[in-house]
Amino acid sequence: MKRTARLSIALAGVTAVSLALAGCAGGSTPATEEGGDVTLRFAWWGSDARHTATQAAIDAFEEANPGITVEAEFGDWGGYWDRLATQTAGGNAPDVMQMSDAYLAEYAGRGVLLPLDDRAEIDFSGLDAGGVASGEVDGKLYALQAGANFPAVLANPALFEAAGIEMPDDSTWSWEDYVQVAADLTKAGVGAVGTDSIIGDPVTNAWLLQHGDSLFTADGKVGFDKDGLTGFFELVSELSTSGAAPAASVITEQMVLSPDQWGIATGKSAMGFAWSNLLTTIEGSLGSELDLLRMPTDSKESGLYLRGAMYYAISAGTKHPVESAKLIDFLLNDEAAADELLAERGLPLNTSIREYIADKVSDPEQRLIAFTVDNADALGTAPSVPAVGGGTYDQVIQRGISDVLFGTLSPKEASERVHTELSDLLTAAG
Amino acid sequence: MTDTTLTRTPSRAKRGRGWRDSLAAYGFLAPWIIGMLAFTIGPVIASFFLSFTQYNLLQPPTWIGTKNYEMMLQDERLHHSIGVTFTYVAVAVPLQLIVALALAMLLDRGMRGMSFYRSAFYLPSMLGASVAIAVLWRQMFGADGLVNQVLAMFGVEGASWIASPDTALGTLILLHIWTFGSPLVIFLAGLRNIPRMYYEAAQVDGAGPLRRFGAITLPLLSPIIFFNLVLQIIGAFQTFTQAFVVSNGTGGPSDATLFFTLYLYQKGFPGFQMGYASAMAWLLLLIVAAVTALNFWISKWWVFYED
Repeated sequence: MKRTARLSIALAGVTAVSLALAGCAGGSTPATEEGGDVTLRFAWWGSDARHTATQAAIDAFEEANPGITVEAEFGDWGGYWDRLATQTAGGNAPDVMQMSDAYLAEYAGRGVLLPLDDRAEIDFSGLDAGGVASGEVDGKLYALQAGANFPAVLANPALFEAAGIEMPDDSTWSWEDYVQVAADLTKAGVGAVGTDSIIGDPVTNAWLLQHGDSLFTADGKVGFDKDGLTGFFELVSELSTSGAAPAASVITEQMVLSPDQWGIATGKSAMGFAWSNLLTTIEGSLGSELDLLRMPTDSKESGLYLRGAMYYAISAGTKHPVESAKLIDFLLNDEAAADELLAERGLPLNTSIREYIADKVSDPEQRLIAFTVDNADALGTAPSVPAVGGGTYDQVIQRGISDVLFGTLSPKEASERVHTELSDLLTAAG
Repeated sequence: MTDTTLTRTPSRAKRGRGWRDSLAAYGFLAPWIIGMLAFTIGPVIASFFLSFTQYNLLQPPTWIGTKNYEMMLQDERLHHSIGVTFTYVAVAVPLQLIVALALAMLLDRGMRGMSFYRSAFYLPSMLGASVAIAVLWRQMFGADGLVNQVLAMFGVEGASWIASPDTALGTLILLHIWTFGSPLVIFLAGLRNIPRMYYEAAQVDGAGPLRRFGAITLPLLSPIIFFNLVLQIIGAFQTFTQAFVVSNGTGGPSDATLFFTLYLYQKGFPGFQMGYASAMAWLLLLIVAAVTALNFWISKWWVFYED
């Protein structure tokens, strides 16, 4: 009897602990190559469309660079970061990796990315200077934008027409107008609510910019004060109580759904917020065209900016920095790569490549590019990338939104808690 | 409490053969022992060390003493996650065992097609912790899911079950209950071991079904119930996959499904606080050990051994 007891306790413990440790084992160093042939590992996350396009670009790179083989490692967003952290811990990170702005400071600040400032293999001449600067952490360049996108409101013209409501003028509209239009759309009873909910990114960033704040500062602190998001949470609450947005549980569920299942993508909402690179996916799911609108604003700041959602970076531990840099140069600057990649990751960093692909890209992507040209005067500076430790900020904000919607927190309390939790995250990372 | 070690002094020849035998035994055991050392004992020791460090995965760990453990005292989300986990264990495990026992007794009557039912009932246990079932659950209990479609036929408009703080944990408890197959099979075996003559004698004395259940089945089955209880509690404390998939790793809505293990994962992987996560793993070990010890202590009063 006693022995069984001890055994089951030991067993329970062992299982519990091994759970936490699945990723902590040491890794092996990659085998060295012979005869000048080099094998690179290149990792990214994304959809099937991205895998196909990137693999084709890799093939083109291998053809142009005999002796270099590129092994692809790809997966979905969630699994990608667990794996990358584990590989890095084991000293086995891929040579070239796709990096997110959410984790750029985390990785660069920990010294696991290779500085790119002086890499002669990369031709910087054609690259957009502002875009390049966004990959800097503490004054050093660690990553180059694979594509930029921007926050936007997507509007379904068919539903507007059915409701007999005119498409609003997005150069002048305020958040008050937005709530009004959305509530009117719901009331019109066309089988859809006025708007998808605000589910954190990208609205939070834009809203803070419009109020002269940002989520994080360049020197790694929280970029708003305790009360700084109260207005944002009031807006969230107002959209829900006015009937402009769906019920609290539907909004919360949307936080875990993929974009092709959002209300705007299924015709259940007349408007919605999204990062621009989701337009193709959302229209594909909906089966009809959407209008791109600017975010509403209550100030002179539009909240519109180009965000480097995805970057290319090189592992500091790579054995092949030269070949890795060559690959990044090819992906950014070569027309053969552009033919395959087009604007799948967003607006290319190389300005002449932007022109080169302009008439090659799909129809939604052409409209995205046109939007950046039409609204060039409204484009502001991008906020700093999340500070070290702040990579999971979106979850903190989403939890605040849920609690406001379900009435467990007031907007003011939610703002304070988000502020405290983000500060704690940065302190813990310290 | 039998001791299998030989205490007599064997002859030289015998000792030689015994040595060879045990060498062979260890040879056969080697894959398991190596696996145990490399993938279980090693990580356990490593995590104990890491629990006293600040470790962000990307840089070498730095020693911070018991600071992680002190931080756990202040961590309100951690306390909340313990509450969620205990609620889950306290509700899901007894309900699952009751369902399993009830069905086992039904099956024990020896109906036709018994092996089919046994397999059919066991199937969910094989699938319950899988990602596929968790995804299915998310679809079924979502705002436009099957459950709401059925409810709509009766004119009831349901909200999203997985995204309402009041019902989200309930859907996961339901998923746990649904995997009643493995305790069911064990109960069935236990029921078979109860001699029929007890029931016959009781029936002759005029005992009704309830009385027979309370006076014969429950006491004689109590070791089996206890065994299932211990295993299921330990398993339920470690629930992770279902909550991870249904809430997409967030523990939402509003932390309603933030299990201890899920919070541990959040700290460790997306949060880059592996030292803290290791300390949490040790806290979970202590909690599970304490609950199991308590379980064994209480068992003295209700578990009945025949011999």
